[in-house]
Amino acid sequence: MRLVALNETAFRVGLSRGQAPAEARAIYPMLEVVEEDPGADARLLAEIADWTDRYTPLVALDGVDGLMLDITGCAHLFGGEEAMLADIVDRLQRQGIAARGAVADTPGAASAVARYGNGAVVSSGGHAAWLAKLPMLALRIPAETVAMLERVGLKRIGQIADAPRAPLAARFGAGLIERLDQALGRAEEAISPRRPMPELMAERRFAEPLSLAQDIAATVISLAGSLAERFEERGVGGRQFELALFRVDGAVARTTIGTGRPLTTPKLIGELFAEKIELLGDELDAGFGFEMVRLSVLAVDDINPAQIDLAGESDGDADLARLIDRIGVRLGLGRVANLAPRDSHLPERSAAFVPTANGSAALAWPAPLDDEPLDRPLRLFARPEPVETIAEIPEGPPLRFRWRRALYEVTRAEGPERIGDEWWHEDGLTRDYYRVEDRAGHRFWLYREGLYGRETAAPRWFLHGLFA
Amino acid sequence: MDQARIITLRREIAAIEGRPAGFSEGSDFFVPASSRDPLADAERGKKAIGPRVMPGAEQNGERGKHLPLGIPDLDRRLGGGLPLAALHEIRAGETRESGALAGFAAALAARLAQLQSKPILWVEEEMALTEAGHPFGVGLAQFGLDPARLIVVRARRPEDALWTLEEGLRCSGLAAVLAVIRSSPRALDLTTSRRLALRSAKHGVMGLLLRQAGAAESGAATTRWRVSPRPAAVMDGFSDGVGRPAWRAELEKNRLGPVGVFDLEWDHARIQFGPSATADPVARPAVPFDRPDRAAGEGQGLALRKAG
Repeated sequence: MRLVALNETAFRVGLSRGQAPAEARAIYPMLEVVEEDPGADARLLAEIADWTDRYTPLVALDGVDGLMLDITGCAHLFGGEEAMLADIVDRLQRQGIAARGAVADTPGAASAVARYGNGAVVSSGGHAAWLAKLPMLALRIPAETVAMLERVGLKRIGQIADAPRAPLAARFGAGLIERLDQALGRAEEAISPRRPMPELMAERRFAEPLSLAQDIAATVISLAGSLAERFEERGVGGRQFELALFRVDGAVARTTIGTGRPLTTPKLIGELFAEKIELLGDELDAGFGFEMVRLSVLAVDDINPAQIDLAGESDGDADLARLIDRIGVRLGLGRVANLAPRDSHLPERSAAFVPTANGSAALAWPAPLDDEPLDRPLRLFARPEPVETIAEIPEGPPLRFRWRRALYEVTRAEGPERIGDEWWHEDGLTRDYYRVEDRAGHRFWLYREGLYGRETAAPRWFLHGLFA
Repeated sequence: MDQARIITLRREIAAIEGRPAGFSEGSDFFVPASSRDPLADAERGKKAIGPRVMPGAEQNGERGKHLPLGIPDLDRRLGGGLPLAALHEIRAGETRESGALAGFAAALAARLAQLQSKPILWVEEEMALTEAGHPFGVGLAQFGLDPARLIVVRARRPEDALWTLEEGLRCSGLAAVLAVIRSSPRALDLTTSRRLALRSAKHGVMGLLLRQAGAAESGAATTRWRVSPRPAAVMDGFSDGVGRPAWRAELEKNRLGPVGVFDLEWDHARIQFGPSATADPVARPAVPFDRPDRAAGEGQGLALRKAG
């Protein structure tokens, strides 16, 4: 057992990381030792990462105790890099979290300066000078490599920054060169943000935090309005939107909606979010209020000019599209579907539900039979229900059957219609379907599964559908 | 004086709700099927007993306001056909009768689809799907209802299904909303029912509320039906087969005229109802019947000729 983390007081009385608790207690008897909880630590880091989302949407985890933020282009919103860094560290401090940060041109340099250089804002291009003074460990290479370098007297990054690369790679591995190049900016390093980068984004901060649903709804409409121009420029509309609400105490509430067709009209976007917020109800806790609201467009689709109508729509088609979007928000877009025919002789595969949002090609259904009796049921069970049936062996029609504990006497049976399994199933069982009617007029679609003798010794019977 | 005011107020309320002024709130006129037809009595000059026909509705239905069902006696009782801007409730007494329920509803939808070109929203509650299967496109197409005209919504809970029904009744882009739920969920109370009826009346979208395993209950629907299956009619050339689907459709409640019981069958080729005259079946041994070979349609199984 070793100590992995200490608070300020512990540092001041002379304790250090890596000490055994017994030793530490000998130095300071009143020491309080708590067992490490990596899960809780990870959750806390994730929460802090969520909180930093208000600075930039590109946030990645850096190890178990750090975060990497890509602030390219956002620093001016916070008064410059120095002010922004100070703001972040200061706010974290106020929440009881000691933090150290650095700003640099590359993720490698930023990480190195933050962890081993006491944190600073490195001016553009000045990272090489900074890195030169830092120990090898700051390059994010494994401890063994560091040990190997130390053995030959290489202790500072500056010593290898301009050394011949081939011998270094041969002796210490290609990984060392990669990390060196990344830190110095000779090679690209992209961070993998926790959240997808939105296509478009608009946000607003409030001096007076919001907590009323209608205020949030109004803000959404306003933010969507500010995106209208960018939609038009690109000729697209949004298919997936995310609303992020940042609470004053640091928590972030997020909710997404999807639409059936690309949307640009602020009023409609606002309406869908209002619906969603109402649905969330108590789950959406404003706490002391939201100080920032961000609307992100996560997915877009091309839009043709005829669809754009900022004045509001009133014809039936638009009304229907709107209804489908609202049902999608409330029940889930996958639950609104069209029926589509499929090319398969297996009944359960011959028709499918295709989510309306996916769009549908108009395909032809089999034509209605003219003056012949119907041979397909109106309702089909997704899983055919087993029925106990009495029928003549080997291939007689059902005479009596029991379905869900009720007995049915068959008065008329039509069939068999033989439907084999798909040819690629070698051991597939053939089905003989019968349309049966009982005394009262209940009409069912039953099938015998497996040809007696040829495919199976004990064919089973199933009820697959209900006729009108 | 007060009496006169009350009567005037009643008339106004009736006008707002679209009811004939003679009815009191929520009353069901239950007339046994074998009773006289009061309309016929009125026509013959005798004193009419029972509900009056709504003033203004022509016998053959105002153009564009009714869906004629093609059975003269039935259409007359409804004032020309099933009113379009109204909520109708159809129930089947047991789960096993869900096929008949689906058939009757699909028949109404098929006739409506001929009258109007807008899509029909078809809402199914999850429980209804588990108990009685889901709507089958191929079967519906054969039946005469083009599945391309349908938008199917599968709702997890009855409240969601009713919400979708309500919102659909407001949508000018739909011809009708058809909702299938199980028996009587708590969410379907008189207030909700009335709200649905008003929405339908206001926006002109027909509401068809189907209740599987539903008991007779009062509600605000303009008509309430109970459907049960009847033996299928024999079709020419298929003497032993299972022919045209047939049902007993009991008009249990009717705000526009008398109630009644109708034995109907469905002609899927012509998309029309016909009277069903099949006698109750005599017990007979099941004789399997094979249809002569049809040219196999795309993706359909072959019907084999029975050996021997």
